[in-house]
Amino acid sequence: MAHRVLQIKRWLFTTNHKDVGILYLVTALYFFVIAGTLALLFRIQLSVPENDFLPAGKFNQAVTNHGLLMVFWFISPLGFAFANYFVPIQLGAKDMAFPRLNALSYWLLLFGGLLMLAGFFMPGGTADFGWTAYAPLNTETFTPNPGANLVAFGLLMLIASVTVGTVNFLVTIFQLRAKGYKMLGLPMFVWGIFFTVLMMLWAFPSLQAALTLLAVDRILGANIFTAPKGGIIWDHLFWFFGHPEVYIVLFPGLALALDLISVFSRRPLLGRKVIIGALAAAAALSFGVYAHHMFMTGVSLSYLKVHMFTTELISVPFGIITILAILSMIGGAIRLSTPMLFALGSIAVFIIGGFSGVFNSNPVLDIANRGSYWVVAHFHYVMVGAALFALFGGLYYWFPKMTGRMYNETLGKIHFIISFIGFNILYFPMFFLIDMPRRIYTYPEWTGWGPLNFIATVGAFIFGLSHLIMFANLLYSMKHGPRVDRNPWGAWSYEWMVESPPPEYNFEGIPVVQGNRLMVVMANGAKPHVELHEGNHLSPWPLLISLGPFLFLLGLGMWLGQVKFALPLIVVGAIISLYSVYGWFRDDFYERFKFEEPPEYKERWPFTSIHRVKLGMYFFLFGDAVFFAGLVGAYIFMRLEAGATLSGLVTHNILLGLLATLLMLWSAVFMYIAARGAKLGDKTLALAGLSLSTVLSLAYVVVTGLDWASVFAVGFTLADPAIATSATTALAHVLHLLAGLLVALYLTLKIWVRGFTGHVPETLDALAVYWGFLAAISVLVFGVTYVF
Amino acid sequence: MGEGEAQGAQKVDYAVRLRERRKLAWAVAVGFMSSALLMVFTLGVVTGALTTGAALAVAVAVITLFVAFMLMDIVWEGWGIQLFSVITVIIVMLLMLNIIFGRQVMP
Ligand code: HEM
Ligand SMILES: [Cu+2]
Repeated sequence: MAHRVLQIKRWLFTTNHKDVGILYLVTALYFFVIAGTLALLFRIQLSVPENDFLPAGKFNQAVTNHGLLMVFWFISPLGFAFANYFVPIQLGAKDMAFPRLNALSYWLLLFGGLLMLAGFFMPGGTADFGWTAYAPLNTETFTPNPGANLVAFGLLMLIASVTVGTVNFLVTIFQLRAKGYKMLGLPMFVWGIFFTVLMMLWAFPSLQAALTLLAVDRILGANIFTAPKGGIIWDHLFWFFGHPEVYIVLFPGLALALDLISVFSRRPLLGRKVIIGALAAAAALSFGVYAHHMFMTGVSLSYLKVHMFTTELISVPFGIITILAILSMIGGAIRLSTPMLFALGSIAVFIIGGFSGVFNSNPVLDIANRGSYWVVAHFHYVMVGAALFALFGGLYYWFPKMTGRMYNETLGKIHFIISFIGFNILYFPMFFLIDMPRRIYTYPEWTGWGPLNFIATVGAFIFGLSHLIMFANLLYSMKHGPRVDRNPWGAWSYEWMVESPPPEYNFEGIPVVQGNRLMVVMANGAKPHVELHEGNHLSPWPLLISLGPFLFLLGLGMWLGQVKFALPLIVVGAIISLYSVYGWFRDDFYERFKFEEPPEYKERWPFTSIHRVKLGMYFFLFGDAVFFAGLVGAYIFMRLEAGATLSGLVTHNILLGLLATLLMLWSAVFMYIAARGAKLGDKTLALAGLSLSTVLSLAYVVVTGLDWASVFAVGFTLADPAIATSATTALAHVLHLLAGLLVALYLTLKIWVRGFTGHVPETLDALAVYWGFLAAISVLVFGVTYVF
Repeated sequence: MGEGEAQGAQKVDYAVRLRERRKLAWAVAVGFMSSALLMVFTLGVVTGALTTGAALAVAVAVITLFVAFMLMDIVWEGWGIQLFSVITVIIVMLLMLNIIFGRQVMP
């Protein structure tokens, strides 16, 4: 019994990257089953003409949630399950750079997904506007379904999860490589994750901006997306995120497939550096092609042409990668084990998917294909085909490492063959359904679409059910499979040098890379340096700090949908949120949770002399800049539409604006001075700077509030999109500031009571950077929303 | 000793001391400089000397970037941070320009 309790506690409170990886894995597969079931339901509906298995409303809800769950809660998290488990080991590290934040990413992901699912149980149903949530379909007017609010909240929690995870992975990859481990020597999988998180860093905040504005529309009754061109601003914000997102989905799998190909043909990858360069090029280009999703919006052709050109460019790096992958195999001693089969299958379908994408990139051709099942076929070939097959290959590949036991090879192969055939029966017919529009819940007999749809549905069942073979195989083998030793595949990345499953801290000593070999050495040549890293790996706060907002948002969603018992949920959620933030700070105050690898044993190029907390802060802010760019961009858009009558000069008091900006600016200067004080070990200077900064920023909040009160007093309302967008920007800024003030308060107390212990100087340094960012944003906001 | 472990109040070495003092002085200077810039900017708008359009956009961008690079400590960091900052600026510009130019609807 006591053992049980300990087990439960371990999984709920763990911060160990391998445990978190397992949690990600189980959760991703759980959402896979749910989203897959939804798919089977709507495939049944489509299997024959004029079917009435699912009515239109239910059909749309099923399609929408299928898409969102598959993309955000299955494929990406599956890639990150492996990233969590294996990237640190592959780097020669003992954990992620911020273990608690890693657990936080997981819990935010889980609770975000549960919020999504809760939408189904709301009276009136859940979101039904497709995974792209095009405006104005996504607004209250067109989708009154209260569940849609929960979907938006769920996505916002997901974005929080992604943000935290992104920062964590970047700092880990940059600063926790074993001494002597050069970036270029990293496995392709790490490179894939690296580019993935970079794209996430700059792409997700744009979605965050879009959803924030949507929430303002839906909850505060603004009209941003119902405005005449509201749909276009949604398109920009969504697809600026959305196109990188499809590569975010693809990259972990693609990179993994490359590693698998190299391991199972027993040859190094041909043109490794070229491939890394190609991945970098594709990642960079991904931010400049997105308007190929907007060919039909009526946006001017000369603008679209630029994106058409860049879209066609993007097939070049992918072409190079595929060709090099194939050439790498030639002359190798190829072993067709299950992981290799999946990798090959992945590359094969990727080629088909990529080709079909190139056709889409031409606006003229695309007008014919647009919104048709051709597009559905295209993106399932790349997303399901390339990404899912490769990641399932990874699941088989790493299964012996994670469990210490081997799965059944025959069953693995059977799973591959059936799922590969099922996949093609499912999606290939859709290329021929080029005249059938997407997102219709049924179609008349005379269209002749019936037979192909029937075939596709049969394929869907084959494909969907084939995975039961995998589940059975893996579940059985977990307990009963034959034991394996460290390296059953003869692979060379470093997770294969440690035991299966790996010990809690991966390496019992200090990992060092020399030549291409990883060695574990001891500090002082004595016993393994365990005491260096033996922290307490348990913390309840990541779980609670996600549970609180979950309950709160669930309650809020229920309240908006006029469901009973909403208020208690809101209250309980708020209490848990506050208490868990307090708890996290209290742990830090007493420095109860410690985990840090000594920097002198690590390779940290190119960030050799910057502390990880500050580095993490920088990465966070680089992403956050895009969030504010999205909000300010939306304002510029709306302001250009509205004309000079809604100019900030008319709506605002420019002198109040100037005053507020100066207050914020000097607040940042004093925070910066406080940080210098901490570095100099000057307690008085640090405390003086902190308190002045706090006072000035509070004054900033008050002045801004007064100014906005006067705007509304004159009779302007959120019904004006230009007002709503600038008000949202101001609100976002103030919320950022209030969150920062919590940290400032904590630091003031800690310095006052305990002095410069632990990471106080570094945290204050990072906070000063944050304050500098907020000052820059307030200058931007002043310059754009008050003056223009 | 790296930047990492500036622990005890007494043991801050000379180089760090010098550097932090110089940063401090600069921060105060930046505070005055950007305040002045903001006031001149506002004056320009109020008097109508700074007409809307490109001039305005450039002025806003310049002051914003000045504040960001100075007060976010970026100028004092290594090239890694500076590179990432520049990429971020490019991406932000990309989003803004797309929104501004991808707005016109075909007749
Ligand atoms: C090889 C280069 C690729 C090109 C040139 C390309 C091009 C395109 C184009 C032009 C569209 C818009 C079609 C339309 O809506 O009418 C599109 C849609 C789509 N593509 Fe790709 N694509 C490529 C690779 C990928 C990859 C690798 C993925 C994902 C892993 C992907 C996922 C998607 C998705 C999800 C959509 C549909 C979005 C929606 O719901 O409307 N594409 N692609
Ligand atoms: Cu795209």
